[in-house]
Amino acid sequence: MDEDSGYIARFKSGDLEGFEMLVKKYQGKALNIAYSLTSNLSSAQDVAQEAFIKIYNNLHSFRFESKFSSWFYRIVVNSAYDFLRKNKYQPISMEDPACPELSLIEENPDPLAKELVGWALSKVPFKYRSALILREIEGLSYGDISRSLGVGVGTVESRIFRGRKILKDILLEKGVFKDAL
Amino acid sequence: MRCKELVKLSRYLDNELSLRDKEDMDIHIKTCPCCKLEAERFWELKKIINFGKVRSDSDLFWNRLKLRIDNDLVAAAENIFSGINAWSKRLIPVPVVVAATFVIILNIGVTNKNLVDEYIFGTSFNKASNLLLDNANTELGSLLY
Repeated sequence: MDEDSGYIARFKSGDLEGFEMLVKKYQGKALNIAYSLTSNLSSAQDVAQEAFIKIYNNLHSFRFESKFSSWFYRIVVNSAYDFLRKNKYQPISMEDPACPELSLIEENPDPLAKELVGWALSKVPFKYRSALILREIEGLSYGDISRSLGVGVGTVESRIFRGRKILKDILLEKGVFKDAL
Repeated sequence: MRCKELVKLSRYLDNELSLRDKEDMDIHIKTCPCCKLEAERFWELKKIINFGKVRSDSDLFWNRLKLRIDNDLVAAAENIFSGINAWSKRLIPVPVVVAATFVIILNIGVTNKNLVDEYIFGTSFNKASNLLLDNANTELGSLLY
């Protein structure tokens, strides 16, 4: 039995600490994906919380037919999709004073380029964007993305390719690649 | 001109090709300007797409989530009770309707009884004749005594 199965078994037997361990293990991943999909820390917090609520409500019926992580990624992506659809979200700013408990460990030295990439990514259709984010941010294999999104590996390949192409075209139009290439 | 090998580019950059296919693609990219340019752009994209990691206080996140779970449980319990209350309000007319139905049935029963009496005996006639007979008996009795 792997670590996740142990936590789930504890939760199913009535021990909430099992769920707490699961949340603490996966919350960083949930926040990273949610932030990459919404480009906003406060929205990322809402999406991650909503995803864990869904997991809490459905964990009793989880039957270990797939890996917990695949199920988890699917719920986070679906929660982000629901959130964006409900809020008809327009990314406003990467800075978010309404969510002081979250911050970013910056890896992109150019904040302007980061904002532009965030904006460009929000223009990529969600199905391509989610596949691309799972690959680029979480480093999942095509097989894992396929299991997480419930589509074939060929579809994942084409979605990632299409996502990159659309993103590249938008950034080319904005002149981001002009100097680099 | 678009190269037919271009669709393999994402798999190539993500190390998802078999070793043999990867070696073929290595050679192809060196000779195909279309794939070479696209590969360079995709590489650049991979570098800048990284937004950085979100840092959060795990205890704070959990406490917030726990609070929400508890609130949801309370709300669910309240919903159940409010559902019962709503149903109980809806059920208030039921005894009234039952009582009214009972009274109607009794009335119909009484009416039916009268109808039967009328059909068999002719109630109005019987009542009048009984009254006359009673009066006659009383008068006869008083005369005798």
